[in-house]
Amino acid sequence: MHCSELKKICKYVLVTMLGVFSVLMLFTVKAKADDASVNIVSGTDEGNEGDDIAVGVAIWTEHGAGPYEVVLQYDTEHLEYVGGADVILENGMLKFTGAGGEQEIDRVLKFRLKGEGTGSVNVAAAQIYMPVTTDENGVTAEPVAYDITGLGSTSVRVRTDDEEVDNNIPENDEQAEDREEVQEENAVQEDETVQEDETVQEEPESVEDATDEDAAETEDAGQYELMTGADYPEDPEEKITFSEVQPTEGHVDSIKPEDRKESFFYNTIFVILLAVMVVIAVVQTMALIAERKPGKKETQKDDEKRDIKNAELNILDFDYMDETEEVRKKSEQVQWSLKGESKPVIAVKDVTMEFHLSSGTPSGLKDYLIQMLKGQITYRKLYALKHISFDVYRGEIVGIIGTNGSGKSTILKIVSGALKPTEGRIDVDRRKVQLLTLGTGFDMELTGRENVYLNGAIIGYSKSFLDAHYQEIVEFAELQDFMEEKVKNYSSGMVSRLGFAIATAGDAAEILILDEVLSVGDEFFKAKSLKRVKELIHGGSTVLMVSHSMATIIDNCTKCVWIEKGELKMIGEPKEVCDAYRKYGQGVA
Amino acid sequence: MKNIDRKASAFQYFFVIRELTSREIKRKYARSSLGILWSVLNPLLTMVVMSLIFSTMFRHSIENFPIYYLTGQIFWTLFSTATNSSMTALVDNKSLLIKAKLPKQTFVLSRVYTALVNFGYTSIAYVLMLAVFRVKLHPSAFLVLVDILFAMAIATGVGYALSVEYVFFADIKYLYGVFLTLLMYFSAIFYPVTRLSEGMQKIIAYNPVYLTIQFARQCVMYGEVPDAQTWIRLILWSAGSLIAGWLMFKKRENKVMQII
Repeated sequence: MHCSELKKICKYVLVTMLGVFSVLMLFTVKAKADDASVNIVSGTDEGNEGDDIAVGVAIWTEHGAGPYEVVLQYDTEHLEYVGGADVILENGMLKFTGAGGEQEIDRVLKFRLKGEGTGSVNVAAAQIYMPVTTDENGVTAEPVAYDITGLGSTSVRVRTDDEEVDNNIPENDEQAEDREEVQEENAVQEDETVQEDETVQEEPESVEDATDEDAAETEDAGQYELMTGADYPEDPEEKITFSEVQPTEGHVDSIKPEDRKESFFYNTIFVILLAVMVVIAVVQTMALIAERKPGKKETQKDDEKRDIKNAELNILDFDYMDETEEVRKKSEQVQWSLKGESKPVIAVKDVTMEFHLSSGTPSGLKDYLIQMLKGQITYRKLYALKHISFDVYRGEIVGIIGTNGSGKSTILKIVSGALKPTEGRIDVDRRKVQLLTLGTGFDMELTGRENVYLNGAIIGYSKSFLDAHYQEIVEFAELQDFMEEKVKNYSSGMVSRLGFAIATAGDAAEILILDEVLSVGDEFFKAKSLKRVKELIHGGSTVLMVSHSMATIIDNCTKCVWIEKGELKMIGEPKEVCDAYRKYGQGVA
Repeated sequence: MKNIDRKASAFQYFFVIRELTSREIKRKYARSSLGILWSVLNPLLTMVVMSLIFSTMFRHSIENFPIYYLTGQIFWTLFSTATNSSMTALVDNKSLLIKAKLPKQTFVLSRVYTALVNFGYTSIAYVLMLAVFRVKLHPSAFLVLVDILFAMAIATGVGYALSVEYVFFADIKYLYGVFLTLLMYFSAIFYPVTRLSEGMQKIIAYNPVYLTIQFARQCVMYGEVPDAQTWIRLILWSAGSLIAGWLMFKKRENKVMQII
């Protein structure tokens, strides 16, 4: 009871944990999934007054953009808007709108430099939706907005005519290390600028991954190199001519989503790992807690039930004691009346069983091959049975006796259909045969209940039959308290009681084959099982039994078969056959 | 007079298989506190491990590595556990064999069925991962059920043969273990087939386990219906394996009982 209670608790915990775990995971993924950002990059970092510069606006989204709206703010003092935007707003504001549909959207703005100093362009606001989906019914789903994770900005310095270009001042140490110096022309033109250096993007996580490929591909990039605003020194007086090169449109397309996907993928994996560990840890603690508090309530209830059942059983037993004699007489009557029937239930006709025994007995393939090569494998024919014939009629209890290894068990196996004879044949309805050997077929790791169903199924009982007779089986075996226990904790007597109870359940066994069964168990159970066998015979069953106990055979059998060294020695009245057997045994000894 | 419905033998057959299967599963997880849940967790964890190692290695040739691997893994497990456990089916059930009224094949079938039940639990993990990685399913995904039948048929045939052979030569267990390793590396579970040489690709296209895996990937991951060649090969493998296994089993069935 306690054990199953614990298991139940564990199961509930596991189911909830699994639920929580999956929900947690889905949420994590969802939160991760809906990012979008707007980057803004300029074609050059500085220029002379009057130059036209290009500024690229790139919208990146995780799953492709739907409708979007981006508002840019530019510095009207230093920049003059030339073209590229969808709508021009007041106070240096520009607006892009669109229906989306692509993974990445790139727009190019043109500005003309004017005045003196640094002019900046930044994204003031952005609203990006996921692609709009329309279902079968033509209903358009509500657009879902992305989380905007980055709004870019950039700036361009306007150079005065007398200014000298200084290439040697690095922005920071890191970039200085692996920088490649490039001589720049005095008059910087956007199309000619070649700058190879580390790339810094708005998302710090992708910096390292993208670097190598960027560097390699910069040269064949588009018409302009772009500079991110983030790299630009905050101090306007610091002269910077070297700057970071932002990948052009082509790069942005190919690299960024992949990096994103990968980091997202690893995150997911670690979340899974973590969640699994948490689940296991929690379950372990729960199991420990549950183990300390076994369910008391149910045990009590069960005790009561058990007592009632025991009481009933006792009453039944008393009733039975009175009837025993009657039953015995009746069954004998039945036997005699049935003997007149001409057709035997089991007809063993000239049965010969031949075993091939290899003399070498190789223990494996290697041994086998070696012995085969040496020519050591010679088969020895062993006759377990030689031309045995006998008939068993309905209602008879036939005992089979013989010394060890004389073929008793072999004939039982042949009758039950497990073995096929080499020669001769056996006429018997195999579906009616129940073979009962000691303690076999039980799975020690399973509980008594599970074994009843497993064994019952194997010997041919249907599920409904087992359901109907389960109580009967348990009561007969007197194992009410132990059905939920594992069979490995049973005593050998309990196991054989249960085996007997299953094999004789209901009226199932028409032909019962008992291999050394009736001589085990305590006196009371022996009497009980004998009584049960007689009940079955009364109901028209036939019994074939093997025993080494002469007393059992003489007391119970109506006929006795003596098999010695595979040969049939004698058939007849149990007493006569047993006497002959005893004499033979003494003679041999 | 007798109240057992003996005519419903098909029901009985299935009842026995179910009882045997529930025993196998109970035994397998008898001492673990997570029990059958390991059938779900195990493939997930191996997926994580394999993805950590191989997903970067094959990121250009395999689109969705975790799912690619998991598809291969669960079909591989179905085949390997079904055949491996079928091998010992007869020897393990010695005492029940003598009593059994049903054909001895039942014991082999119950082992294959156990592997299928395990596969069912593993599928929970699989479906979960399909959702997590947002794999779009097409109607062709239903073909995976046919694929499972193919895999079962092949495994059953092999299981029949192995179970009988194991009675005579216990060494087959170790030989088959080595063979399974070979077969696993020939099944393209965690690498793309295109990485192999032309000749190897031709050989691997005859591997029944690889065929079932590829079949599943095509219809679940890529939403394609496998081509006629794959179908023909799988049908031939299934039928051939079942018939050959059955014949081997029948031929030595009686001898098995003498030895056991």
